[in-house]
This record gives sequence, structure tokens and C-alpha cells, in this order.
Amino acid sequence: MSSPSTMRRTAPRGASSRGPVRKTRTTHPLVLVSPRGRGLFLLVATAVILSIFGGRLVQVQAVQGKALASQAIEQRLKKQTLPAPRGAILDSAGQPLALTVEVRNIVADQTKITDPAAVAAMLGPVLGADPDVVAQRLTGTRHFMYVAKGVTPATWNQVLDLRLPGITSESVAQRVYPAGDVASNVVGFTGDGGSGLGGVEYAFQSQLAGTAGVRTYERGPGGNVIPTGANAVTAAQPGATVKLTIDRDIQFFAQRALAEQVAKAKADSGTIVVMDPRTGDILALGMVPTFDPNHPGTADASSLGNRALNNVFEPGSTSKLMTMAAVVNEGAATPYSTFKVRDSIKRGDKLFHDHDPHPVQKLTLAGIMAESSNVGTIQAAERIGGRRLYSYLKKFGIGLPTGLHFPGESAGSIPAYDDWSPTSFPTIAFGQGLSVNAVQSASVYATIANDGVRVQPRLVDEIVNPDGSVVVPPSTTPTQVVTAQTAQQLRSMLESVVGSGGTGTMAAIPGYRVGGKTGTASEYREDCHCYRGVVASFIGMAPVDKPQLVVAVSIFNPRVGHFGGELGGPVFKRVMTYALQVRKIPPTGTPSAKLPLTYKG
Amino acid sequence: MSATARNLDGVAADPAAELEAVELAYLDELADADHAADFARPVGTEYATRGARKLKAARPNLRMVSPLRAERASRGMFALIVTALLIVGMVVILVINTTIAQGAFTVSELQAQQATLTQQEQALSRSIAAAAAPDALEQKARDMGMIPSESPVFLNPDGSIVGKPKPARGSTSQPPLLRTPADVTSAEAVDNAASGVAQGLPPDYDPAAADAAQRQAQSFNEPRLGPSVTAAQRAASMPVTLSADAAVAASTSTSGVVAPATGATNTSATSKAPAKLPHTSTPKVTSQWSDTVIAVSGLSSGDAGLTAVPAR
Repeated sequence: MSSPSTMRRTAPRGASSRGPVRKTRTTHPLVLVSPRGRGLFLLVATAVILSIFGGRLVQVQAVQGKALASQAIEQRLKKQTLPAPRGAILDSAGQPLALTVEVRNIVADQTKITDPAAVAAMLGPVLGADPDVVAQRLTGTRHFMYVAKGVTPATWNQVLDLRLPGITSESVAQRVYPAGDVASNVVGFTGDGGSGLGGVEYAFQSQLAGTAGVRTYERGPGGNVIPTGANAVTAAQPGATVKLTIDRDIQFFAQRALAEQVAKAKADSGTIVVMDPRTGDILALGMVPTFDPNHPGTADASSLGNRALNNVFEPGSTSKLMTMAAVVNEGAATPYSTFKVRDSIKRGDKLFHDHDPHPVQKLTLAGIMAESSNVGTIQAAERIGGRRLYSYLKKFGIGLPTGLHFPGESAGSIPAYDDWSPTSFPTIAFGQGLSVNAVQSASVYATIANDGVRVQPRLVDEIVNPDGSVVVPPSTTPTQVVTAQTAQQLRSMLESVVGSGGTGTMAAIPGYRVGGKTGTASEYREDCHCYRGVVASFIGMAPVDKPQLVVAVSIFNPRVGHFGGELGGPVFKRVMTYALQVRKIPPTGTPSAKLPLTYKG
Repeated sequence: MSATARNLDGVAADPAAELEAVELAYLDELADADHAADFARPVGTEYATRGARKLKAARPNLRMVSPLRAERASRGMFALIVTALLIVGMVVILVINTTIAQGAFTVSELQAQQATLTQQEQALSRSIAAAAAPDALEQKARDMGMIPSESPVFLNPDGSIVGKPKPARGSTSQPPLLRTPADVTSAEAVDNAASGVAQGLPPDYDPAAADAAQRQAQSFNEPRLGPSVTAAQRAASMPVTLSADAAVAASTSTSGVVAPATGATNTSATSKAPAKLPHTSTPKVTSQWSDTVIAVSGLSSGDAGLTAVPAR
């Protein structure tokens, strides 16, 4: 094997050294060179080249393989977030208070629009906008410019039919409140990002929001999906539906009746609570001023909260129900017990007055309640003393959270018994010197309405998860505050308030037995740290012998009118009348108790 | 092998005259070689036979080689099978790819259809929600001449009346104090985009209302899917309180919208509202006072058929 290779090596060398002598070469043709040499050369060359390829292959596949592969897949893979539809907020009948719908933001690529004026002339009428304004948006060098935000898909389809180059749209979810400001302070509102900023929207953000999904797919350079490529979808988990105890119709009616009265009385604000005392369900929770959750930005910031839960006030005379309940339940007096009531009484270093000066009156306990006598109430309360009164007030839930866990809720306050001054006891007995929110004061009446059993108020009925499972918010166990007999006696006393000779005659509903209590409290103002203006309120129930509804109305700082009976009473009457019809509660048909208010002797 | 090579060189160089002798010698030499038959072939049959005979006698272990023709035939067949397989494989892949691509198209088509239907569903439920909003219903009822009752009265099954009926007071034209815009979300679309800059959108423009009107127009061209029990028939057959105006309104709403069958069962919004006491004249129908709900079975707020149906 060595000889041919030697020949091959020497032959070219000889030829090159001899140079011009070519004749000798022609006599010795190349035939003598073995083809094996050439084969070997090719073999070696191929081996070298292949080993370069091989090396590169190892480098690409083994060394950088994973990194390159992931880079490649990243180029093709497109991750698309699938937004989770936000859960709806419904009223007790399943009517929507908050919905999420798909809307379109119309976007222009200004560089692709050659004739903005012409495009705007076509686009303007469809969007219902001034073409000049639209043209302004279309002119420029920006690749992404919003032309219109939040148009309906139907409108976008009309735009699509125009086949305008450079006009595209993006799909976004929009929160819609179809009933507008009905229950807006309960439902709350959402911000730009779609997350809840107030009310139930805020309190139940995590349940309502759901979990966004992801769609991963491979796409070609043109953005088209590669059918055979990877295609994985993690579906979005829709948000849960929150069902409230609110009845949208009663809510609307109550809100409007209140708004009319607040306007008429030129008051600062007002709240109204409609409650089912047996379940604690809040059927309506209205307040004035309110806001439209579709445009929370246009409302005054102070109107966005929930006054009925966040604002506390001194309840005044409506609080006398608790004092009376304590006195009757302790056996210290009955509705028929007699009191000689002057128009003023001195306790501690202070003289306490009735509202109007009057000669000494001979009143029963029911009469004290009906005429809302401060002096008489102090006299009655003194039969049980401060410590026992305090324990009853606490049992009625004064100074304790309502259990609604509403954002910004204030529990109100009552000074601890050990901190009471000599004037605290008489003051607290007729409802000043302690503070409650509107739902708490309604809850006191609901307790009496429910035969002395206090049921925690409810605002959220249930949370329905997308898989159909239902979560009912936890509630505390009902507590017996006063006996059923006491409660029944107190309801009769409340009925006499609405009857002739009482302060609440304007709340009477023909055909029904109605009971309630007026309240005209001095309002403590944070801004001046003084008492200025009043809180006029009326809280009542119907039917008295078998109460199914409690309505509490409070009107803050009225300038026309003053008394709870004249301001709150008519609102109570209208709302209660409507609610009785909606809830299909017929009159019980029993005769009223007609307790004696005065006595002779 | 190197010896053979040299001999081959030698044959090429030597004169043809000595051919036979060389041939014989050559064949002798080849007898040792394994490839005798290969080298014998070009030489010619006469010599080969002779030599072979001679060789056979001397060394009988010459083997048969496989016939060339058979080899050729099997190669051809092999190529044919491979080609066929290739073609079949490619066709199969093509078919599979086409099918998958077709599936992808179908999927995207159905997805688009789903999106459209979802949009429609959303638009419809939004219109229903807007039409069923309490203030919209109240306005509708007032337009029909209804006013709120001030004394709840109930009718017992035996015909006796519970409560004290009395004529309701108040004007039918009294507008609700609260304004709850049914659909305000689209109106300021362009304004929104301006983020605060005042724009020239007409304040009363409402795309949703326009949509609703459009749908309304379309619905008149569509076949009526709902049962042809009309509001008037129901009103006549059921004891319902309506003021004279309202009764007329209910009977005229025959020509109004009858919701499609699907909508009638699933999406028609029902809102409780008490029936109103007769206000101006004796009603043509018997009174049930308050056990009545107003059902909105139409889609738009513009011409929703307000029908009085018995409460469930």
C-alpha cells in the first residue's frame, strides 16, 4: 500500500520543478496515479468537514440545545391572557345590580390613515361623535390612539362594516350597573382596572374577580395560529355571583321616597333601612345623597360611602325603646304603670327638659313613650338603675359591629358603665350620649319585632361559585334580649305612638296595625365639636301583632321641619305601604291594643 | 491481490499473440482466487468452459453465484415499494394536515360564532336589565296611566276584601325624582377616550338605544316565535287591576313585541310591582288589587310589551 502513495506524492512535485518540460508529462499520463489516493483525499476531506458539522451539531444540540430550543419556542409561542369575567351582583330576586359586559375600545393607527377627514366623516356618524373631533384623533404619527372607548359590540360591527384601514379595536370588560343609583351605596363601584373600590364590589373583590386564564399557542410570522403546534388553554375561572338580600324594587322606592323628603326638608342627608326582622335580611339600604356607580367620578367623594353604616349619630328618642324594654323586662314597670311627669327634672348638675313646657302630667309608661317624654323616661329608667340599663343596651348591640363586615363600617359607641358621670345615666336613658349607625338602630326595633330575639342583620344572602356551590356568609346565633311577652307589650306601646295622642300619627297606614317611634335628636357635629341641627327619625314596624317589616328613616339636619314624626313619618308610611304590597303582607285584621296613655287619680 | 494487479498490467502490455498461453496460465493462477468466475467472464465461453472443465477436475469446490437477473428484479421491486410507500406516506400526511387545518378553521369559525352569540346575549340581557330597572318600569307604568297605591288591599279567595280600599291620589305625570340612566356606558365613549377633554358627543346620544331600536325593527320582520296568547287575552282572563287607560294599553300591546320562545322562558325580566287601584273610572276587569306583577317580555325600553300576568 505504500508504493502508490509515494508515486502520487512524487509525481506532482517532479512536474512542478521541471516546469516547462511538458512533453515528458504527456508521455506519462495520469493513469499511473491511483484512484485510491483520490478516494483517500475525499475521505479525509469529508471526514474533516463532517467532523466540523458534527462538532457544530454537538454544540447546537447538546451544549446550547435547551437554550436555543426555548428561544425558538418563545418566538413562536404566544401567551394570551384570558380575562376572568367578573361575577354579577344580584338582588334577592336575582335581578342584576351589577353586570360585566364586553365592550370595544376603538383604536386608530394614525400612520395608516391617509385621509383623516374622509375616515372621520364615515366614522363620526356611527360613533355619534363630531367628525372634526374624530379627525383630530386620526391625524398624527402615532401607531396607537384611542378613538372611542367602551362602545357596544354592535357599534363596533358597524365600524367594521366600513372597512377602514388602520382602525382596529380591543375588547375590554366593562362593569355595568343597569339600575343606576339604585342600591349604589351598597353595591359600590369599580375602578379603571375593574377591581372593586367601594361597597360589596370592594368587600367581595376576591370572590367577584375570579382567576384569569392563559391560552398558549404557536403562531406563524403573520400571527396566524399553527394548527399542529402546541395549543394549551387554561380556562379563566369566572368570578362568583354575590346575591344580596336587597329587594331592588323596595330599594328603589325607599330611595326615592327618602330623596323626595330630604329635598323637601332641605336636609343635608338621609338614610333608610328596610329589614325583615325574622331573618335580619336588609331589604333596602338607601341613602341620600347617592351616586351613579356607572360614573363614580362625577359624584362627591362623601356620597360614595355607605352612610347608613359608616355614619354614627346619637339616636335620641328612638333609643327610648331600649330603656322601656329594659324597664319592662326587669319587671320594674308595665305599660300601665303610672308616673307623675313634670316638664323638667334635675339630675347631677343639669336640668333635663321635655321638648315642650307642660304642667305635671299623669302618664302611663305607654303615655311616656307615646308623648316621648324625656323626664318620664328618666323616671322610669331610675327604677332599674344605670348598670342594668347599660347591660341591656349592650345586649341590643349598641357599640358592637353589625356583623355585616361592610367596608368602612362604624360600630358606634357607648361609654363604659364605669366611666359614666352623674349626668350620663339620664342622658343615655333618652338616647343622647351614645351613638349608633342606622342599621344598628333598625336592628333594635327588629329585635322587639322578632319577639325579643336579636338576629344579626344580613346584607349578603349567598355567594354562588361558578361550579354551583353556594357559600352563605356566617352569622352569629340569635340571642334573646328580652322575653317575647316584653316584646309584645312594647309593640303595643309603639302602636300607641302612631295612634291618636302620639307623636307618630303621620306614619299610620289605614287598615294596618303599625307601631313605631319618633326621634328628634340633637346632632353632634364633628366639624365644630358642638351640637347643631337635629336628626329627625322614625323607626317602625308592621303589622304590630305579627311584624314582618321594620323601616327606619333618618333625616339629617333638616332646615324645613324639625320633628321625626313629621319628617320621618310620611317616608315610613309610603315605604312601608309599598313594601307591604311587594312582600304581599295582608293586614292581620286584629283590633289595636289601645293602651291608656294617661290615668286619673 | 497485489499479484493479480501486476498480472493485469502485464496482460495489457504483452502482445496478443501469446494470448492463449497467457490465458491458460492466467486461469491457472486464478483457480486459487475466490473470484474466478468474475475474471473468466470477459475471456469468452470457449476458453472458460475448457478451463472450467479442467479446473473442475482439479478443484471441485467452485460455488454457484446467485442469478443476476433475479437480483435485478428484486432491486426494482424494492425501489417500487419504497417509492410507493413514500407517495402513500406523503398523501397520508397531506390528508392529516388538511384535516387538522380544516379542524382549526372550524374551531376558529365556531369560536367566532360563539363570541358573536355571547355579545348578542350580553347586549340582550343588558337591554332587559335596563328595561326592567325599577325606574324604567315605573315610568312605563305611569305612561300607562298607573299611579302608586296608597292603601294595600288584598282579595281573599272567597271574594272578601282585606284592607281599606281608597282611591289613590297623585298625578300620573309626576316624574320620578331619581334619574337612573338605563344605559349610560356607551354615551361618552369618545369622551372617555379623551380622558377629560370635553368632546362634541351629543349629550342625548345613546348607542344602546340605537341598537335596541335596530333590533326592534328587525324583530318585526322575524316570525313570531312566542305563543300567541296576548297581553289582552291574559288581562281579560285573569282578574287584574288596571286603570282604564292601562287596560287599553295592555290590549293595544298585542301588536307589540312577543318575545321569542327562548327569551320568554329564560330572559324575560319580571319585576314585582303592585297593581294600582282604579283611579279614574270603573275598570273593565275584576279587581285583585295587589297580587299582580308586571312582566316585561320585550327587549328594548322603547316598546317593551308591558303585560299584566298573575303572580307566581
